[in-house]
Amino acid sequence: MKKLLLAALAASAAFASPAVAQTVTGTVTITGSVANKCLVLPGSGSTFGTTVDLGELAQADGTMRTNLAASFNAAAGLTARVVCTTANPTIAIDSTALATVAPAAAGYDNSIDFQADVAVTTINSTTTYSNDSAAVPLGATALDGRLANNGSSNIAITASNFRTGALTDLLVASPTYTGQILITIAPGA
Amino acid sequence: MKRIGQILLLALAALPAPALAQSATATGTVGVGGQVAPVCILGTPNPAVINLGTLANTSGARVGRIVTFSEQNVTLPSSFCNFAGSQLTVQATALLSTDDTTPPAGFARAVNYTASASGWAASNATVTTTALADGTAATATGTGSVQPLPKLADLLVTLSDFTVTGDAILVAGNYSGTIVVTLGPAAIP
Amino acid sequence: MRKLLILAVPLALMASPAFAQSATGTVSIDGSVAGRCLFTTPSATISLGELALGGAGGTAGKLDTTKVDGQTRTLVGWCNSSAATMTVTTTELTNVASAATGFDNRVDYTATAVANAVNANDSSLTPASGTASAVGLFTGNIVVTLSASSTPNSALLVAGTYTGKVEVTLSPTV
Repeated sequence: MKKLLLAALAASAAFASPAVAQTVTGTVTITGSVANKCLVLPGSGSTFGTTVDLGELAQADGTMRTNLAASFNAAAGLTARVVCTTANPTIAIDSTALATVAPAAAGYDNSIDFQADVAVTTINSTTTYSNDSAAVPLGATALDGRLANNGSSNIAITASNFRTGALTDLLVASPTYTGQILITIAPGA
Repeated sequence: MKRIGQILLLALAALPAPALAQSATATGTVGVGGQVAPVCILGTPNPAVINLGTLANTSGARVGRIVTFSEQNVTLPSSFCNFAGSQLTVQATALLSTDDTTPPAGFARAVNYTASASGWAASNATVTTTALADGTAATATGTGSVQPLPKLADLLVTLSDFTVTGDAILVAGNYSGTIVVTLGPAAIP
Repeated sequence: MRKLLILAVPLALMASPAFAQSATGTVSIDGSVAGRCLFTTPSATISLGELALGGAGGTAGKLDTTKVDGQTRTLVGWCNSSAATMTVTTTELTNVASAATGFDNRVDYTATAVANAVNANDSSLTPASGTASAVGLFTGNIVVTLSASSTPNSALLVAGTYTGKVEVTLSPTV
């Protein structure tokens, strides 16, 4: 009979905790990730841009109008605000000459080359990246830091050096001359 | 994700399209000019010489005195003046003996006649020589009326009324006279 | 025996996209060039001098065709459209002085314009302009040459000053 009591005591001694309430700990681990992305603000779309209509490209003597750059740069919609989640996004620029399919002849040109200049404001600087329509496209080039995120536009597009093959070239008549500046801002590594 | 559509730009109002003052069609002019000098041309007289033969009757009541000659005609074909306001003039010199010795009384060394140039204007150029017996005052001139238009015509010079002053006896010898027909601009009054 | 289970419960997150998203800007540029033609040298003058034959022969006073035929002058211009056409309008030489029987006061002739190896012509005998020729896109000389001169009656020419002209019209479209 004593034996039984001891056992019972021993058994109960295993749980040496006193009569106070026992604390338990539960741990919840939270993980998450942010994708590498660039977005156009406001909203969260991924495109920006505009269409610039330069109108009549020739001046009275039939050659290219010498104030095309001024006309282009006066257009609205040439700025944008882009934010990227990465530290060193990249920019690539591909300019396509303003041209028409109508064929040219001696003394004429059916295509106007130009240089596209994109001023990018990062947290470190404002740097201009350029691509001439007569040159190969500018491949993905790392910016010097994160794109500035101060509520204002951080991309500004201008164009310069509009030109025909020779200064004396007359422009071929056509209702449709088209060109393009394609800018890609990628998150990078 | 909301996409921001491209912003379409309106045509530039700041810089006006070049004013094409001239129409799209162009005209070049080559002026052509020339002149025709005013000129008169007289056709070659036909016949060029009138040979009256024997001037004095060789028998009969009028022996030694001037023969009655019929009209003598000379044409100047295809004569023309290419301008308006021309005039025909005829200058006649009486037939004079080559022997210029003053003839004695009752004798004469000059044969007068009337020359009339017609076919040109409203009034013919007519003249009658009035040489004296001794051959002085042998030349006389007659002028026709003004021809108001350019004219091409066959001129006719008619010689008539061969007479001797005082109907005197003609001295022996060879006689000659000349008729000068002039076609030219009308004399300024 | 109470057992306490300790569970680690990771929060389930939305799966991040497998690609890196770029922002793309496209500026489209358009323009146009209106069809036009222009003469940079728009005029010239041919002074023919004395038009009538001299001398006193059967042809004296009549038109000397060698004074007119072969005369040439060069205008300069361009058309920037492949559909451009060229038309010639020739006006005869006339003298204000009246003619009379046996006389002419007018000289007719043909003018031919050559540009971009294409020619267009017109005779002053026909009041209307010549047929339009397709001259196309070009910049350069437009050479005008006179030929086939004549007088209506092959008669004597009235004295005085004769004036006429040749007009070359370039149109960018038909």
